Amino acid sequence: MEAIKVSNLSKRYKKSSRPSLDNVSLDLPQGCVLGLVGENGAGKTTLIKAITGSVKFDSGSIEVLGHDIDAASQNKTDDRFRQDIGTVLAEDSFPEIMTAGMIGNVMKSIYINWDSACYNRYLEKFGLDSKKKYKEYSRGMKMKLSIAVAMSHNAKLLLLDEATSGLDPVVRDQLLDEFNEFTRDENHSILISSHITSDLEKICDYIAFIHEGRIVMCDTKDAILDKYGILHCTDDVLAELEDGAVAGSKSSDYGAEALVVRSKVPDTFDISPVSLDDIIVYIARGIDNSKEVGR
Amino acid sequence: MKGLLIKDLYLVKGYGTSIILISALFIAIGIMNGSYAFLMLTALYSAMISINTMSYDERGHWDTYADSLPVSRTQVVLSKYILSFIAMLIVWILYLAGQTIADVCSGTGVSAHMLSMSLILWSSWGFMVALLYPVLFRFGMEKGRVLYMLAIMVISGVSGIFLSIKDELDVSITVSDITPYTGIAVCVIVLSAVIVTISVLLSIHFYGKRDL
Amino acid sequence: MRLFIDNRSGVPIYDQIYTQIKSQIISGELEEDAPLPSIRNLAKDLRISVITTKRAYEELERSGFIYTVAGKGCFVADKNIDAVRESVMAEIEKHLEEALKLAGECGLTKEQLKIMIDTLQNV
Repeated sequence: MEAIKVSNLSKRYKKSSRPSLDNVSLDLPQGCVLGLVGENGAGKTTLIKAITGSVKFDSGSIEVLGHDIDAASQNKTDDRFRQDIGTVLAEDSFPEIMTAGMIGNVMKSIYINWDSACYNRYLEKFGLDSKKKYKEYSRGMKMKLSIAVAMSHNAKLLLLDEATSGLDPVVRDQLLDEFNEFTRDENHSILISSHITSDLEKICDYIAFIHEGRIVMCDTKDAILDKYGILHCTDDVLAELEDGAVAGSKSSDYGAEALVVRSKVPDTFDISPVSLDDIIVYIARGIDNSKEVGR
Repeated sequence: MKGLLIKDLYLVKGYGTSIILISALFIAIGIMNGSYAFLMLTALYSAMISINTMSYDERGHWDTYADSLPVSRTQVVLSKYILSFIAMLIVWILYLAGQTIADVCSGTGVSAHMLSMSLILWSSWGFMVALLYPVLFRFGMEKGRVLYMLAIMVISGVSGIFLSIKDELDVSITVSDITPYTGIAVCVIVLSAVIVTISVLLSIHFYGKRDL
Repeated sequence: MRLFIDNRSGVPIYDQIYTQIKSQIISGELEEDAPLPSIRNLAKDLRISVITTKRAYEELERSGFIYTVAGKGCFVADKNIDAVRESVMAEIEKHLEEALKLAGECGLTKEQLKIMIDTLQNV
């Protein structure tokens, strides 16, 4: 079963030259973590906001935890299914004078399964003062507070938009641990977007790469990392490789470095393993280059 | 819905204490002077109290966050109308209580202008809310602020004119005269209720379609 | 059970898990019918993908080192000495073929190769 199933979703903002989401389809199987990567403005936040209901899409449909939302009925959807969802947004989420304690009181009336004890445990664990105002929190503390709220009502699905961005490595690691533990339950799923691909490489089962509003690549993390490798050689050698072998390349006077599809390159070449970060950079570069060639 | 109102009450508590104090003061002055202008202002403040919370919501991106919660946008809209209604209700009760005490103390007995004043208070609140809220829900606080300022000026101006006429009218109203006014009173109440209802529906429609 | 995952080695992670569990089964460290951690828990403990551990377990099962009981999880299979021997021998053969190929490339004779093996054994 899919926790999230996005089908042919499109969205173009008024006054925008290109669609923010262009026929996006995506599946998040239950029990898995799907990482959404892409540069700023690629459409990650728009996609997550379409799922939370903040962005009204033009066409397509979204199924979240078995609840269907399509373009025609999105304004009239029954929001009760959101009881099972926890969300962390990239920007601030609470009015600045509210304290963590007040937020807990509000959530108690919003979520049927709100667990005050659990919430207080998270506040303590994250070192958040429940009497301190939201505006006095650092960015890391704000994120932790959002995460505490998202994880204190027995959610089955977490939607995390840039939840680790702008935080120091220690805090990021702590949060990734929380997400990792969350998915120990096979009914729990996470959709997480980030431009810090190393974080996603650590916790994701699936990776979707979104570029200029389109899904360029979506597969299991293992398959993606197995598929590609880095090849160091000369431009001439690159040119001789079969079609589709080179996903992106970078050349200088001293030689070329290319992201290659392992299966399309002869065994005799020495191909080194590649990080998700490199894959994204090369593929984005490859797309942009081919566009320029086309012009 | 309850959660949304609790959140708004926290905001009112945090930001709105001065408004509450000023309102109380204005009610007192209004009753003592018999000045309608001060009382009118308290009705306008009641309408504004939700607008203030909307502005804090927007600044803290709560509006976007609220979409991810199990509350509908319709509930968000309704909670703003309800909050303002509660504020107006409190103002009205305070006015009734204050006026009654004042009348009893001065020995004039309960005066008829309490009814006309109540009508003025409620209908000015109703018109303010009915006109402003759909605009703000449609355009958001940032873009809506200019319109909001403009509306306040227009309403203040109109009520100013209205008040100068009213002061003369008032003299003629006594308890025995009340009967002919009942028809007008009912009309005003019904009209206010109708435009507020239309306003609520418009706000729900506008807010439901917006990208946040 | 001990498992060390090296993210930088270039060896696929499922392969690292497969190799380590296999060698612990062959060496007897993991006894027959001993339960293995669930796919999900192992993944979460190691902070790797569920899909990765699933693949490692699938390969172990295919090679006959573990078996699955529906609803209960995975267990170490009866250590079939012949099967183990066979799989190890297959691997040795593969390496020897490689050695022969390399020997051919630089003109080493089979005799010289045998001497090399003897020397290595005496070290």
